[in-house]
Amino acid sequence: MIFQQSNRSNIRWRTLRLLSGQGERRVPNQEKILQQIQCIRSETSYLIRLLYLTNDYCLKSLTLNQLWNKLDSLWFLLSLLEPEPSPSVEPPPQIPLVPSAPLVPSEPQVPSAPLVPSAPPASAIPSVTFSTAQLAQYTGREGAPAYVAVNGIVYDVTNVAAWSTGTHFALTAGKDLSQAFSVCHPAQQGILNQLKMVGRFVP
Amino acid sequence: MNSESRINLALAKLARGEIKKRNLVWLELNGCSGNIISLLDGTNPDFQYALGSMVTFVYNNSLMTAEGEQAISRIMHLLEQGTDFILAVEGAVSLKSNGLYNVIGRWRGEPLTGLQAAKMLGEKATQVLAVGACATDGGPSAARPNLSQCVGLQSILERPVIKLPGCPCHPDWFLGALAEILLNGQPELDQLGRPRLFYGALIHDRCPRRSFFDRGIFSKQLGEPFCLFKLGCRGPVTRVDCPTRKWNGYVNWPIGASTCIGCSQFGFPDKMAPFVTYETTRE
Repeated sequence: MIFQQSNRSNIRWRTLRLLSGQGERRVPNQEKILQQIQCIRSETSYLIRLLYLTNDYCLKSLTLNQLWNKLDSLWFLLSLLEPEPSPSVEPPPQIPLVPSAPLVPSEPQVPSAPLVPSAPPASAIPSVTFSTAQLAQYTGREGAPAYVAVNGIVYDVTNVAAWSTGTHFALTAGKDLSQAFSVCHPAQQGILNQLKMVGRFVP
Repeated sequence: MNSESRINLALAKLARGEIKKRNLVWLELNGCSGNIISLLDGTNPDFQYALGSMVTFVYNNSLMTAEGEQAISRIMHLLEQGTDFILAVEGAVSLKSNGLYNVIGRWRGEPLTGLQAAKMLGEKATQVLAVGACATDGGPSAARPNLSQCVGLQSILERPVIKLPGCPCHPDWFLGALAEILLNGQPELDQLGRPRLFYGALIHDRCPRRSFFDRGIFSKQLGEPFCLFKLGCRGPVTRVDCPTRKWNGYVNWPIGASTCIGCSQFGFPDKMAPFVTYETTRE
């Protein structure tokens, strides 16, 4: 029960290694990807049949976890089939455990976003402006939407998963959070690009 | 490799003498003993198996029969002998007044602080595991106003610490990490020092209520079967395998009755507040 593989990046790198051969770095070809997908399909069918049969809690949970993993593998393989040029195959980053490293919370991965995406074009930002006092009304409480300002743009985080009830790691909506963003998500414009813009912040 | 074959492999290696039972010191610092209690509730494998086949418990203040200096002498003896041991620490390290807010025993008439013990043992241990939220990142012990100035174990040790956040730590997370140490020397860790095996997936991604989130159907109060996002659920920012592992003999987990409070995320509890709120956003 303990050893449920629940690691999406593991699957990715295992698959990448498999597809790219013995240390050779090249873009995986379509045929091999389709073979992998076929393989996952038959494994998934087996797991579903197993779920029909078992009443054992442990096995049920283990099987469910494996099904999730298969789904993640499929998602990854399908992303390889996308027409965009695939990213070069690099070994997984070996990040040494530096004892003095600050314990910052892990953030949702943005796998498809480029490393440093550019800021949105000015024309894409709605012309509405928010002052500090106006922004402060959008706290996400008592039915109000949750807005936050980052680098002069106001974003709607009302239904952003990481912003449950207008709060995020002790931060609250209705404020300019540029500094907090630059500390916790340096060079991660991709996160902002996924949010809905609602206007400009003019303090 | 599935669990059965891993266990068989471990047993076979044990029988051939290729792996040996290791010494385990379980230090309890500034905390609530919740992690050792959680460990006693383990089922597959259970605590008896861990004790019988995996490690020799050298020291644990809650479980050992020795007391006072006699108990502390077991740690001192281990250090004098230079014997190999694994250190598991639950509870935060209290820094205030040079650690005197958390005295774990006495040695030669002098108080032995948690800070002293953690440094002394942490520097000599072969592997160090921070078990539970307090040892990992301060947890509830370091919550505001943090009168005893509690910090996580990593803050006082200049060496890698395997972190097993959770309040408490699931018995499988600890025993699984321990088994990986015995079998392979070190579990594969993520950037924050957590075993990928258990802390790889986001709760939100494997939540049985996820489809309600995707469709924008939210519970307005506890007890409703829909997504708990509007009530303060922290599943979207918490990485751990609760949705499929479950608790208490694998029968249920927090989302079964209430919101996820992010107990396995760094910064818990202060940064995960509010746990449940009815002052919700609009849909």
